[in-house]
Amino acid sequence: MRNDRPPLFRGMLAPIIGILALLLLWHLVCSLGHISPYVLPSPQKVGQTFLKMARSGEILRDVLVSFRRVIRGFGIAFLLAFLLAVFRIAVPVSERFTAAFIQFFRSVPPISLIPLLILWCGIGEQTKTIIIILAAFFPMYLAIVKGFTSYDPKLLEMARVFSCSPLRLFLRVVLPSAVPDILLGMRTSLGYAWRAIIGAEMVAASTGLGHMILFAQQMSRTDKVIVGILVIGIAGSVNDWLLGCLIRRLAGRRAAHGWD
Amino acid sequence: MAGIDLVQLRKAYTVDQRRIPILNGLDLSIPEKAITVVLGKSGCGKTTLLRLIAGLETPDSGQIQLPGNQRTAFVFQEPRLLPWLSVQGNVQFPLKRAEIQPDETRWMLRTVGLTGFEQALPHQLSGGMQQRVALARALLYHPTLILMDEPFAALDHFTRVEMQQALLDIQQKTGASILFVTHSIDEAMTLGNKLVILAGGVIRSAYTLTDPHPRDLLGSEMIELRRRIMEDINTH
Repeated sequence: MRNDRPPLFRGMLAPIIGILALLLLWHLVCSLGHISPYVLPSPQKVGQTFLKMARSGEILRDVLVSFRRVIRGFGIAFLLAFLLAVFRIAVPVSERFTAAFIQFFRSVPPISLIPLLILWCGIGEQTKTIIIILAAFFPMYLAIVKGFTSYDPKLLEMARVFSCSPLRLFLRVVLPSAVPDILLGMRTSLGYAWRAIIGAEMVAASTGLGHMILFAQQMSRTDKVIVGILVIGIAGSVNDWLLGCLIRRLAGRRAAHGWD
Repeated sequence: MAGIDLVQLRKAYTVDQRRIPILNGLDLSIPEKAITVVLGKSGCGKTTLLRLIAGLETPDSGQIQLPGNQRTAFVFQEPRLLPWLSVQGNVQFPLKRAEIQPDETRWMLRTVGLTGFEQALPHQLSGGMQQRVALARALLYHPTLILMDEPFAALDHFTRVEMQQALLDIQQKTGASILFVTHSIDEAMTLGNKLVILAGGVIRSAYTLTDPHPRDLLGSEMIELRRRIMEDINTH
């Protein structure tokens, strides 16, 4: 009988039980009265605050602001990573000149560059876009380079025998071979970009989810802080899910055979 | 179009700082519009010979004289299919958009017994079916020269016989020159117009077969030829 259940229900049952158990535990901890509601408001209070903020449009406005910033920065980071990875494989010697530079910036958390970027660019959109680009670029660049260099040389040999031009070799063999790595890099980078924008908005913004949390903390509204954290988690998961859908759509049948 | 001439071809590989000669001044004429079969023991340089002609390797010395308008296809030992393309996509892979003729693709897939699998991905096919896709890909390219490196080794007996017949039919229809490498003496005698035995990095012997197809391999002349080929291969 278990196998007759719809797959959607089977897939969602366990997570729903987990969430309900956590809410129950949270409710019990608050009911005991040992922790001040200022430090940890009850789930009911957080739920009421969430509904109030949702009705007023406050949440949606901040989510859209953060989302727009992530998409813009992520798009630019992808374009840069792709073009530089193409350059890296077209001119292999360039790796020797850029390896140290890339390793250095890969090790520097983008958030640590915020003071410098504020000095250079102010607290406008430019600073936040640069933070997202820095956060998203490196995982994507490294994944794309790996994809471009880990093709099967036997397939390239086959294509060469059939007199394929270098451009055709790239478009028909190297690029499709790299698709799984590129998609994986995009997915990882999107997570990094989402985390970076929240951090950047907490320091240099007057809108967005990061700013909302910080402002709520300054106003001693712990319930709003928790609502903000929950919304960030949900929005990040939705972001990842949307990219997953896009990947499945682009990869078509390949996604069903381990290409996703 | 003239055939292909190989003159004093030499090739060696270096493994662990040790030089291993593969071809030692090989001379060979590959006639046009005929099937030339190369026979020999493992490691005698058969695959190296094909790779040199295909331009995948460069000889240490010697010459490869190819006709000017050569269009070469290669059927490798393994299918080398693009895993993200369907059977149809793989077969049409070497062709430019303007060269694709759907009717011809359908005919070719029917010839190699893959009708109904046009949209299948390579991992959904058996090893033998994948090799047939590779064969169809090479034939659909309209090559003037087809290099074949034990292309039927992975096929079962019945499919192998079918593929041999299909190859003969297509070769007669297109007039392509074929250089075919195999371990099987029976296969060599079934297909070849010219059989060459490679041993010690040179052509040890060569035989010309003029019998029409299909050939009776149990005839006395064929049995005698078989014995001589085995001697040539084994006495090195």
